[in-house]
Amino acid sequence: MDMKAFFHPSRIAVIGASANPDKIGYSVLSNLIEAGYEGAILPVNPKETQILGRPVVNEVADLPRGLDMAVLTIPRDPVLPTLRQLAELGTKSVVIITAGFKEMGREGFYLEQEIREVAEKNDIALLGPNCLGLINSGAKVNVTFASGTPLPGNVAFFSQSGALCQAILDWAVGENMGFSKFVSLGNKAVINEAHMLDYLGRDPDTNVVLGYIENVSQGSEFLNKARAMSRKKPVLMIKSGTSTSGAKAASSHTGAIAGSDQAYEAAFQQGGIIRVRDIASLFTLAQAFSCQPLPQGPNLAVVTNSGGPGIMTADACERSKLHMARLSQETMEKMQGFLPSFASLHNPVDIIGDADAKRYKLASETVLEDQNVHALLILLTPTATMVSEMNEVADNIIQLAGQTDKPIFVCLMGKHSIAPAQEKLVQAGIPCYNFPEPVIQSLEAMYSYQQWRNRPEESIEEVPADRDRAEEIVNGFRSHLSPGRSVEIVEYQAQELLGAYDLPAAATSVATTSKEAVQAAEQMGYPVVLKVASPDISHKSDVGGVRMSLQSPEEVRQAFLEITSAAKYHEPRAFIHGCLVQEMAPAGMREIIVGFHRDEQFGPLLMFGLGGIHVEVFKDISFKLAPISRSQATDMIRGIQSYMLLKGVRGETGVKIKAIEDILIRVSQLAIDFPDIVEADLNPVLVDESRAIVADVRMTLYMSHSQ
Amino acid sequence: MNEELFNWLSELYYENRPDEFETKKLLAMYNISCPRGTRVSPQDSLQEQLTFPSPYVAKVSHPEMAHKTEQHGVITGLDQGSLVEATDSLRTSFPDSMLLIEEQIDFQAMEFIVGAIHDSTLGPAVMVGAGGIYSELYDDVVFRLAPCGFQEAVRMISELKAAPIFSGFRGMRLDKGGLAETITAIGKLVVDLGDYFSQLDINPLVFTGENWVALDATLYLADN
Repeated sequence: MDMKAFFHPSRIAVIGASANPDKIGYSVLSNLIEAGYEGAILPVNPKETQILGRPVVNEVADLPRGLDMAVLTIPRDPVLPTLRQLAELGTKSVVIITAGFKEMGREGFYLEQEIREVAEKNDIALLGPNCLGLINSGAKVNVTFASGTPLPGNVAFFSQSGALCQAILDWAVGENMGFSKFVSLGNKAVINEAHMLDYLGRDPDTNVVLGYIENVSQGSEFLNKARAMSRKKPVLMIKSGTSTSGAKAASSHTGAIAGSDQAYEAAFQQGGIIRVRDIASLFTLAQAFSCQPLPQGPNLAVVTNSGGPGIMTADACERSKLHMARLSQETMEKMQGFLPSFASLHNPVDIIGDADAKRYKLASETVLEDQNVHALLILLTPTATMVSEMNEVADNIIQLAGQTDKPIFVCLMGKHSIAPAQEKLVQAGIPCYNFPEPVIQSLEAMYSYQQWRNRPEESIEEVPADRDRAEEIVNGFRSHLSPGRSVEIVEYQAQELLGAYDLPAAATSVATTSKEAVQAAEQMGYPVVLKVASPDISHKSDVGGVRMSLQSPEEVRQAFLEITSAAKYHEPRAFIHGCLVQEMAPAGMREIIVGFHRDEQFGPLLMFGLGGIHVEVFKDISFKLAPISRSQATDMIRGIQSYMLLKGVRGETGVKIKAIEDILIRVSQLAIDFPDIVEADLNPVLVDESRAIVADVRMTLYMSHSQ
Repeated sequence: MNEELFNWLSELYYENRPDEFETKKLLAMYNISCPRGTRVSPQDSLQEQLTFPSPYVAKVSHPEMAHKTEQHGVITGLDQGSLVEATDSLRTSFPDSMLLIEEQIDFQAMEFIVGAIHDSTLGPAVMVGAGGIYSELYDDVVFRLAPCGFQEAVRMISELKAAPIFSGFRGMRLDKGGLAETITAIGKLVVDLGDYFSQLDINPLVFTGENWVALDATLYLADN
């Protein structure tokens, strides 16, 4: 796909251009002309000879070959034939504004599929259908039907919702906020968010990328592109629609817990994308990221002329990842020289209600020089003495910002009397808010992003495994599959599969008679566990199918008979193979749960937590998308609130964390190697200070309809 | 202050500083169940026949002993024979303390904390929280000003992160109403104590399958 032709077209045809100002075909053409586009504009209309002073081409067939861009504002039905014509002419990019496709039901859905096929076959960069169009300020391109053109700027915005684009454009024009690129993705038949990240990541005119999406079209593409560019420039995104209804259908623990929003959360986190929850925050953050340097640490200093707002700022700061900076002795002594005796020299530095522009200047400069300070907030309430000096204060701040590489934020508390100063500051690229909380929100996001940038790239280690044996085991179950069906890998084989990945499977053997069970137990050593072995029984303990701590041949014999008859009683139609005889982990080991659930978009979503109440009641779980590196495995383990139990509390010995890391990494690899294992639940895994053992495991194999 | 409460206060072994045994006697007056138990003072020896069956718990009962377990002041799982040995050993380690001998209670795994504080501005407030290690991990507590009615106490429980445990977890059947009644009773107790009250902790409060039992309780009265 030629994204250069898409963003920097040298000739644009507007197909469906109209002389009627009520038509979209008019608005697009008029916007393009008004934007000052310098390339050739080719309006296409079968009847007119001239629109808005531009000569009209009557037939699509008459358009020149190899055109960079065609914009379609025609009714739905002619869209596909027109696209075919454009493809024959070698058109490089097409913007389909027309609606009535996927969003309108079955017929539209199939029509859109055909459109995608034509575009992909001919390598056309296709935007939409059902979109508002796009703007590239740098190339003076505006092929939207929106009202108003935003100023040029260094922020790019893409959105899946056209209506939101329209609203935001209008808002941005009102706020004098500039954009480098503005793209309405619409139905995303071809061009989607992954293409945007890829292009905008390399776009020299863009410093900050904003996005609004409802879903991701290609999960792994998206994640790869995000990873590749998010260290270079910040990406702030809203993902709406966080329902977990899809997860309810899942059968395992992992599946039920891991809703699709967890997968998005993990994808954003692992891709370095800053997730924003609402539109107001999106623009607050955009402004901060686009015009201020990143803080090199978490410490904020506040200079204020009022106590209350200063305290509220400190409170908001404590609730965030940031800290109120501890000012050095030297800084405080310096300030003592020019501040009134009753000023507070500690952070927040209260320079008292009668502060003037000069006092603000001196205090701000002094605080900013302190090595413990990573960012500065100048907080000001419009007292009587202040109002007349507001402009001077603003000028001083602008000057100060020009001399430092630390971020500076301003909070002018009020509305009426602060307006001129606020405008002055915003114009000069100083984020200026009316309340302190957005400052904290912005700075916290910037600090988190700075930490992300400093984090080394993850390296995924090679997991040695007996892949042939693993393949053989899984193949044995694949033969029972048909499209749209799933089958459970019985525990005995699942344990063996874990063994092939060098996971600490519990020693397990199958006994078809009580005599075999006793033999196996004798070989293994007591105590042992007996579990019913049946491909038809998945929740073994529900049918009385599990007996623990069996100490003698007699107990084993007895348990075998009881388990098999209980299972037959509860599940008369189940095929009962016999019993599994399994090594029994010593008492006192800690229970953990490791599993994965395959997310439709992002692939295997790994989960980790402490067994029992921790996972099921307190929902204390960490998630990551596979594959994961060792440091990501460590993050997963440390990411749960109950981590301190693993480390050991109240004088207990901790468990072997490395054993858990190994399990996570190997399960991650297993999930990657076998895309048709849709769910795995190692629950519980028992760990102590020297080792881990998988006490139970369930895995589900699934064949999709397309196979 | 009612007469019963006044009598309880005036009979404290250490003035104004109730030990665990006395605190539990007070709780019992407010219909909060405690394990059956008997107190043995430093001068006495354990001689009388206990009126309740083994197993027993022997622990130091002293107003200053807030962290008995950490100081090895609690011995559990005792029968008639080992009880004598255990009390002797506690006597050696804590010569001046009274001892509390209680029946050992079987309970469901989840522990709770119920307590009350006295805020200098707002007055007494009751608290319920997930107990044991869960309180440290998840900071799962809810407060209300006292007195606190039954419905309000039910709402407190519903606000806990641990609330789902009341809708059944691994076969556990915890009585939410009974827990709420305990919270309400504590609210009444601290209001009744008035200016005498400073701080109360029932930790843990556990469910036996029939009722909620205060396994350990610490009460601080105000200094005046």
